[in-house]
Amino acid sequence: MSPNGCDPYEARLVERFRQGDRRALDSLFEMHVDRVYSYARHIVGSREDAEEVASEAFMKAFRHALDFRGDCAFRGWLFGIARNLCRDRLRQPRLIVMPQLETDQVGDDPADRIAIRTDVRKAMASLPEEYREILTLCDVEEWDSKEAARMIERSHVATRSLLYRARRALRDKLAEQWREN
Amino acid sequence: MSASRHSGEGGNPEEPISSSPLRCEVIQELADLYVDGELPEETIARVSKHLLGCPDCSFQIRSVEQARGHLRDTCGKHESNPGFRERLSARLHAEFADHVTPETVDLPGQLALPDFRS
Repeated sequence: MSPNGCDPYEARLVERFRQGDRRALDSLFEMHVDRVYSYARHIVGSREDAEEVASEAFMKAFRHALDFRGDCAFRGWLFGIARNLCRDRLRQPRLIVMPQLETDQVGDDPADRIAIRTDVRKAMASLPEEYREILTLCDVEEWDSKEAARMIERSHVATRSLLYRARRALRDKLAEQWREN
Repeated sequence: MSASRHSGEGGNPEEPISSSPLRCEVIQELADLYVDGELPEETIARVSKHLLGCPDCSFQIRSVEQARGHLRDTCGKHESNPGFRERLSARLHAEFADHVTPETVDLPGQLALPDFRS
């Protein structure tokens, strides 16, 4: 990965796609589809909404790749578009499905583990959107903090600071819930 | 360079710190970088040394690690449905049918695709 976030391998695929190579389109799609979907699923909550966000994001990112030839950051366009689409969906009240409302598929997990998961979802739902987003990116999806900084369009130091505050907010919220129980 | 350069929350992993003993306030600022493994090796060693003798800082770092562990266990990564991937792939092929060639072409310098799913 170069300092400006461009992966040379990905840049080559984008160039091949521009030249009309279908295999390059397939490769770019396979490289990113699960990550885009997983990010969207965490933010918007439901499978259906996440699939719609991922679909629209890929359509727009490939169109963008054909229309703008200035740089090579396909992944940056793709996730930037997905992020905006998720935000649009969260602004539509009827589409809000928070993760804590999903059925817990824990099978034969011990009861206390199920209770912890319920508490974590409740705590996450109570956090500001920017905290949920950075925790999802860095602590769930395990993005590198520099990569997350590019995604959320902040400096690396500002992103680390946001992550610092978000983790403590989550920890404090969990501690508060567990003190009450 | 003094340890007080780490004045902001979260600190800056690229800034080295002095070799003097670390204060608890500095440890708190470095805690997340320590948890994420984003500190230089020599700083990790100094933080670890401090933690061995400081129950308060150890507790703070452990609580952040535990909250992160619970979050990961609760949320996890989502994998897309194979049917969805097939439908979207077909939609992309249809959308860009005028641009991409149905038959693949061998271009100079073409690279093999690594398996990103493993």
